[in-house]
Amino acid sequence: MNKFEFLKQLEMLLSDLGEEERKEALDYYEEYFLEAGEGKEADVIRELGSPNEVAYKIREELSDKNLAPIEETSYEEDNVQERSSKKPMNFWKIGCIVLACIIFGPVVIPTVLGLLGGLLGILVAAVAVVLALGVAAIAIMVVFAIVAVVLFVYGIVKLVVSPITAILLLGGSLIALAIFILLVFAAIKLCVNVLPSVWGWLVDGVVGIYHWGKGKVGGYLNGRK
Amino acid sequence: MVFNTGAALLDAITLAVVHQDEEGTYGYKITQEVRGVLEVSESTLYPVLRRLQKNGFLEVYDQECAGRNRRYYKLTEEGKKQMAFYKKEWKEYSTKVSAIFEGGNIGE
Repeated sequence: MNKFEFLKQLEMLLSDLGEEERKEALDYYEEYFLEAGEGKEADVIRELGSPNEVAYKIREELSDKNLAPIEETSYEEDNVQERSSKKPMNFWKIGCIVLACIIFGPVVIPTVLGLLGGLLGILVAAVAVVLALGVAAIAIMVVFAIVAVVLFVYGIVKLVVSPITAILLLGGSLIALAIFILLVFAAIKLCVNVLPSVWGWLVDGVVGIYHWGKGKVGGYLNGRK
Repeated sequence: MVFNTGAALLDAITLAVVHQDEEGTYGYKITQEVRGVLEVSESTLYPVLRRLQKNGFLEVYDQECAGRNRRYYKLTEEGKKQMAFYKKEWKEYSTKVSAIFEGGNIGE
């Protein structure tokens, strides 16, 4: 490669740089060859490197971000690509996220935790109420059954000594038994008809919350794509 | 040189080399003199000169020499201020480095 080929290639490589910049650079290197002297042409070309390298350095140095160098940057070739505009972008992004966390964290985190705690509380309370009602109903039934049995046994015992008392006791026993049977039927009806729908509401509620949350997350993920 | 050459040091040395001649000096000579101090490629100097010129630290003028044009670079007032700033910074820096390097030799 001679100086004309070198300059021609450099001109081509700088063709997108604008008329003035290109002319300045070409004038400089043309003069540079002349100053070095006729015999030094090959030396100069070897020292300068390829027109590609020369063009790259011009482009890199004259891009707007380098017009006012503030940061200390190295001239080693392998460090050149570090001068990208990534840094400020990341800095602002991270800064905003951190700021948002600091500002909204104390409000959002307790609110979310509070809501979740509230939901859990309602759920536990509902289950507790159902269980309590069930236990109470069973207890009442058991009481009536015991009363019926006790009155029956007492009635049988009194049958010989005091028939009138015995008949009263046996009648009471039968009433208690009737109430017990009534309660058992009511409880069975309750368990068969009402509890499944209560259970259904609970399950629907939990599944609904789950799907709502999933839908939100899903929508967010889809929105990102 | 085993030490890294930063942009600021290259700028400072380039300004100092240009400032050696009150009348200013030209590209080829600047390159050779800077290369006498720092190990930089010949292709490094033009972009630096152009940037210093665009930043207003250097001004150029053309002068006829041996039947052709030669472009001279010269420090502006702004460039002289920058040069003074770099000199002050370098003095501080090199004093600190020297103090550390030579501190151990005081006893010898």
